[in-house]
Amino acid sequence: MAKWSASRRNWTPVAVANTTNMTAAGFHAVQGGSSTQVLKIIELYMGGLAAAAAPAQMILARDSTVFAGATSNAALLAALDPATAALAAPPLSQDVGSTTLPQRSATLVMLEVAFNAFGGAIRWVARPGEEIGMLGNAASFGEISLSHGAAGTPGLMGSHIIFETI
Amino acid sequence: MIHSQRDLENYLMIDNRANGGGLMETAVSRCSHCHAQVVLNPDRTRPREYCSKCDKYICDGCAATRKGVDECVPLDMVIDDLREAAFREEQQQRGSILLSPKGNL
Repeated sequence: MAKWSASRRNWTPVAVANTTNMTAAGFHAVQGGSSTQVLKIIELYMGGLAAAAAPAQMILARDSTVFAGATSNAALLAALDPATAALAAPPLSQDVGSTTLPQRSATLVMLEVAFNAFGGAIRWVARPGEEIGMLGNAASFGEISLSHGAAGTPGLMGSHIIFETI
Repeated sequence: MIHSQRDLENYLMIDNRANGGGLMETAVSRCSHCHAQVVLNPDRTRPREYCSKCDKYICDGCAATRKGVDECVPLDMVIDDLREAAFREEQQQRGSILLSPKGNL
């Protein structure tokens, strides 16, 4: 099926503990577009843009509370192939939640990595068949977010999450 | 076909060279039971947790959970089952013919 990129540019994560409301504009989340939609995450990239040392503790995890009611969207969603047909229920790539902000699961952490956002970069790529799976649009399988852990120093960065819809 | 567990590894790069740090490129293993990514420690001396039923590595957390139970529930299978159930429910609510994502039922 088609591959999509959810990207955010020039954003600064906000440190947050597990199972605590994230801060609007301080996270990057991807949520399924319908209750039966399957997403497979293929790639995660983070590039540091901070002007000074910022050892960031970045966590890709499933959300135990999914965002809702988002009205603005700084996270871009684009098909990698320009010939990709529009989806009836496209996934959501958001950085805000006007009525409900997401909460990171305390147990369902997919990847936890630290890097210096002062020019550092992180790239994770899945082998075909070894992707991170998502299902639906409800907790906890339906949303995955990139956020900053409670420790460390968040810094300005850009990120993208590439996934496949099934 | 016989394959090596190493054929199934994912890839992780952490590049801190721009700020005076180093470059790390490493293999990452996906836990078959929860999809968590586990950075493989080449110096690990304990045996890596492995599920002989799905023939995949699993993380220490999932291994601890299944101790004494010995059941294999790959997350891919859980996702397939949940999707199937959600699809059936949706179709029943619409009162339409059951056609699963996998084909006719």
